Amino acid sequence: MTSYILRRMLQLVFVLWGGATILFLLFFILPGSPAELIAGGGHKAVDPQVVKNIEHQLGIDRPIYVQYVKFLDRTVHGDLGESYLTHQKVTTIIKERAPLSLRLAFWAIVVEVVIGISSGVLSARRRNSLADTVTTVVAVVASAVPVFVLGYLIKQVTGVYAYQHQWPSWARFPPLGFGPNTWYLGIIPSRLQLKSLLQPALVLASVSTAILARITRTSMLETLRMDHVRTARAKGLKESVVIRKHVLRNAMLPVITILGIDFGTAVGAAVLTETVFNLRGLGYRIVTASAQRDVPIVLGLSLVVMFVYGIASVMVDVGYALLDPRIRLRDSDA
Amino acid sequence: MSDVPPLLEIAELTVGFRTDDGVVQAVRGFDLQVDAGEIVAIVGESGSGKSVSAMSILQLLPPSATIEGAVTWAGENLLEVGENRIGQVRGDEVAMIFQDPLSALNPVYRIGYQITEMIHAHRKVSGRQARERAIEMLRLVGIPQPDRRVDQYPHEFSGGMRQRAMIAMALSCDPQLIIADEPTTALDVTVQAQVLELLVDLCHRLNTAVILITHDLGVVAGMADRVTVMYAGRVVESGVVDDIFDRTAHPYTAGLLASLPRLDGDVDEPLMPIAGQPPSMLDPPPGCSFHPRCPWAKEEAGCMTVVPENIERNPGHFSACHRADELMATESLVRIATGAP
Repeated sequence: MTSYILRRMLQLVFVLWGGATILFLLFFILPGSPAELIAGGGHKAVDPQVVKNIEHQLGIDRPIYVQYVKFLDRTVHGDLGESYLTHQKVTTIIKERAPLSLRLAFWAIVVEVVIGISSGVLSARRRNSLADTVTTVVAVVASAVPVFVLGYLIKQVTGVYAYQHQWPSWARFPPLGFGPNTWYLGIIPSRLQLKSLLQPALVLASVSTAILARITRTSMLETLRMDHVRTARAKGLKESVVIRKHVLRNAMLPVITILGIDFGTAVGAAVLTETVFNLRGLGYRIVTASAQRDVPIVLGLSLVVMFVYGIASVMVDVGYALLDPRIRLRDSDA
Repeated sequence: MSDVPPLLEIAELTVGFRTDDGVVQAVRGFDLQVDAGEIVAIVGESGSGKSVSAMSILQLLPPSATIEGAVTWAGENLLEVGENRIGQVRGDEVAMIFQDPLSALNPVYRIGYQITEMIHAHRKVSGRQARERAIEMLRLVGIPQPDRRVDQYPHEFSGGMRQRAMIAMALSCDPQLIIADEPTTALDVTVQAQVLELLVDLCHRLNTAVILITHDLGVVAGMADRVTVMYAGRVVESGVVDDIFDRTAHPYTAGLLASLPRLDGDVDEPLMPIAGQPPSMLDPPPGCSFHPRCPWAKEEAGCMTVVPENIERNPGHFSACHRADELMATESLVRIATGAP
């Protein structure tokens, strides 16, 4: 298993390289130069000489392969360059932004696991009951409502309306920002922090939680029909033990896959949630930097997101192997 | 039979399944008695209701099933006892062995764990004692290196080994009765006999009664004490093995027997199938359910209209056929099966 994980890590390096290369090339294919934007252009004409000077300053007037090799060289040495516009070091930006994104994603996944799996289990066990119908309807609605609609709605109710109408303090949540940035062990929020964390985490988790609930339900129902569950009952085990040990565990395999993907998405693609609650996370910064053609920021931050995806996918594979002994992680599988 | 009450007595068991198309009448008045240490076979085609009858003994049918009748075990009707009591009976007093050991064992747990889990459910023993019991049981069923095998997963066992492990599990709490639902159907032909012999031999030694469900009368011949033949959810004939094989009193039984390939027969002789298909249990035929396929069916005898009663023709030998007397006067099995005069 250890050698498998090492192999996968090595693989990840190539994935990052490939991903960064594609992004790098994309910026050359797309029309519009960052220099023009910096010179104040875009819509109005600017002096071509100014643009040329800026291009020279940024080093983007050189042939693409020279730039590419330079990019690879400094990246390998841990230098992700600096922003074309603000001249801030990209590593500094990552240090600023990544903790917020990772914490938000982590707690969104916690919400997803707790609510998604438990409601999926509930509706599978009480199939066609009121509880099943309710979770089904809620899940369909939650996955159909766009994140920004849900986000603004929640914010309006608990973040704005609650203050305007003097709701009890436990029902009021700060509508913007990520709070005081007080964490225990880097990940456990303080009480005050929790107030700011709860809304964005719920909103970010909404769609994936709904999908996970449906997948858990289907997977449970499939497993419940299996012969080994009948065996477990025939052995005289209590129903709760049958469900926990012989249904839930076997039903978790597809759920784990989804969770891995969702974590990567929650880190890198939380833009909508971040926008609604005015959070300065990785996704938000990637989007603004893309619009400004701020290539070093996009490349650097994307590398971080890809890295998180890669790690999550290795963890999924390891989780698979732990859950199902039929899956053996051999080097040949890598 | 003696005055001692039987170990298990099933009376008038009726099982229906609600479906979108109507109620499937899987079992329609099934009776069975099993004495301590006895091996009773239930024989019938797929869909004859034999597995459903067996499942209902331990309340293992899905909630869509409606069950009536009585399953008397140790003075109680198992169909009416609560969850706690049925939990005690399952595995401890009555154990089950299923058809396909690969799917019947949970792929994600070690064999040993799956056995000890059951021991822990019924006995107050330490982890070490349960493990030792599991190893002892694996040794008993002839699994080599049981102290190593106990820590392996089902997929690391061969088909025959898996079914041996199921037998070990079933015997691990010393049950008084084992219900084996087609225990060898999913196995290679070469190991079928071995596994079945092992089961029967162990149960004889431990004085455990067995209900052996099978569609293979050949299997029954050498193993069972008594046989119950089912067709379309009803018992059509029951008796000791010799009654069934030598004094066949139902055309369906005769058809099953005549369709068996024989080692002592002519190789070129074609096998004799029973013509037609088993009826749909959504709408079974009136009268004797077998009449559409029966060469003996006759309007005057009431085959098409009157449900035949399962009547004791000779001591312990029951047949549900309107023309049983004529059949029993016929010597040749082939003539019973074909209806040839």
